Amino acid sequence: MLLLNESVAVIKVTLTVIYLLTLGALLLTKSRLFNLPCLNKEIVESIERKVKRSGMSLKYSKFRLRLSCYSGILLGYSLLTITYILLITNPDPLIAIIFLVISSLILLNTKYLHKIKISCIREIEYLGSDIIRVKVKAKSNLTVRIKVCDSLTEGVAIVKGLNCSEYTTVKGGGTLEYEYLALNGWSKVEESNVVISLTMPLALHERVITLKPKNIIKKLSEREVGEIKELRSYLNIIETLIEPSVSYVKPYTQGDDIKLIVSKSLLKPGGLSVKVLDRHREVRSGGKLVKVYVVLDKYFCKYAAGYAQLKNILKLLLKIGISKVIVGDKLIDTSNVMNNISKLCGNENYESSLKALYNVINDVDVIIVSPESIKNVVKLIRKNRLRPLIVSVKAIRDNSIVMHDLISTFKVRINGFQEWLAFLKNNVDGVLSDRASSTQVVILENIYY
Amino acid sequence: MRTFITKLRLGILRLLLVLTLIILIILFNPYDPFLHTLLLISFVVGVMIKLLYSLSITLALSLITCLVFHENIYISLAILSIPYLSKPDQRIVSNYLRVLLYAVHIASILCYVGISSWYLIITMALYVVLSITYLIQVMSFNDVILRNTLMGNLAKALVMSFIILIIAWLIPQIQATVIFGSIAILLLLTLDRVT
Repeated sequence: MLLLNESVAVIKVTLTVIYLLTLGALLLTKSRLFNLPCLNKEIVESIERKVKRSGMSLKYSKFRLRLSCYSGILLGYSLLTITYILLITNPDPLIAIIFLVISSLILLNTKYLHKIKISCIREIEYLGSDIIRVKVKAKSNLTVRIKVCDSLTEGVAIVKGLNCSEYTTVKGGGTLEYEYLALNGWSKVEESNVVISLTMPLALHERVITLKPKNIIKKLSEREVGEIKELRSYLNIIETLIEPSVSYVKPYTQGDDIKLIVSKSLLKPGGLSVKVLDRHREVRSGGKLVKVYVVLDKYFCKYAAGYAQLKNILKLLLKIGISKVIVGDKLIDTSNVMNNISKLCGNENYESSLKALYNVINDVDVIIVSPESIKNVVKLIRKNRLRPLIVSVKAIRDNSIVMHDLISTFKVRINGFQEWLAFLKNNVDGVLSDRASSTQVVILENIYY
Repeated sequence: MRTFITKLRLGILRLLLVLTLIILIILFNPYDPFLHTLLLISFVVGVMIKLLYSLSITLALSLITCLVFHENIYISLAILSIPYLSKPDQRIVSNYLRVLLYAVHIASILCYVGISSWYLIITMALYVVLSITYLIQVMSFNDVILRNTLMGNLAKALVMSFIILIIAWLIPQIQATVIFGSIAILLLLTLDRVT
């Protein structure tokens, strides 16, 4: 009897030692565990980055999010703790058998996840007007539940569909495919990484892979879309081509126009030279040079969709021959503005852009303005005798901010975002329905969104 | 209003059932086979009230029995009922699980009377396998491809567990420690793979 009691005591002490050692091992890997990649966390953080840039805040339960990331590890250690308590109260191994089977299953499922090889291809199709159709294909060598997220960078806006797929079971050798429409803001879709989450039920953790996919880029021929025709007709543009002047002379290379060969160079021992012409193109409306003013504000500067829309308008202006625009109080090359919107936005004092417009409003023919400031610009115009044309856009809802299922799962509240979108819509609707003002307003729309 | 009264009646009925059970368990001698018969009858009555409640009733009954008798078999029964609670499939519950739960209870009565302990072990083993299989079905979101993969892993897990059990059988003095140690090592190995 004494021997039996001693043996029970030895079992209990050994169990406690093993349990404490396991907990110690867990604490040792704590710092590594906290840095474990988790897709939910990455998605919520990307939404947070986007929203913060627009000056808004995000509220969500960080505890719930962390719990979802560590649910597998929590399950494993809960199993161990329950087994320990049960064996301490009554060291009968019968009860532990169930946990043994489940733990073995956890080990095998996690090991299985790490055996999987994933490849990813991204097809990017430029549809014109800067709209991009992105098709993501992820291939797995083994059967697994998979979720793919693309363009989690803050500079890309999603206008149709979502940049993340749903969790789907992919058969060994099978492919997961999904597509969405995007706009390139201050970064490009092709530069972004694809984040793939692999999960198996009863695995200790999801496996998150971040990879640079192979990009297949297709560019559709740039055709003149409705927007340009519309803008052209409003401006009643007469394009004048000034006689080209010689800019400089360069040595002849194959493919150069024969007409441009400098005749005197025919006799020179150094070989033929060709003229390089400086082509001047000015756009005039009713004989007057068209002056375009760009109003910069939060929508154009900090919101990826707005940024992309401004870039597109500037591109349209370049196409119809407007090579210089006024930003603030400076006359800048349109292409220069297109490439340096972030720099020109500078500090967040957007009021100065409107103040500068007030000073030059009588000299301006066209005002490019976002839905955010359109009402203020219309008010400003009303005070003046001249009626410049106002060109604006319809506000786009960035799906990557509002449409994620995580928003409802983790009760993520984006303070002021929906209200801001409603405010933008009301601004445009208000200006369009205001028949009292005699201002001419063009709202550029895109058929894709 | 009528629905509310019906719900109230059912609620009172269930509460009375649970209270009667607790009083009976306290009053009776824990090692009386009559108590087991009573538990079985109350379980059948519980199932008759509504099939869906049979699982929660089993869970409660098993936990109470475990607390009174200090019998591990009931706690494992309770733990294994958890997957059935998450998404009860009426077909499985009515056709297989109910029959199996009856069998487990009858086996436990017979075991206490001293007729056969093998019968209990076999039915329990069957219950464990069926429960884990059902757990996998629930976890695989009724996806056949994923379920097949998980089933393959389950088969490997069972082989692994069997090997560990044989090792534990060879060292009878510290069976519990061997099994618990194996679980701890398995989890640590998995964690190492993750980090």
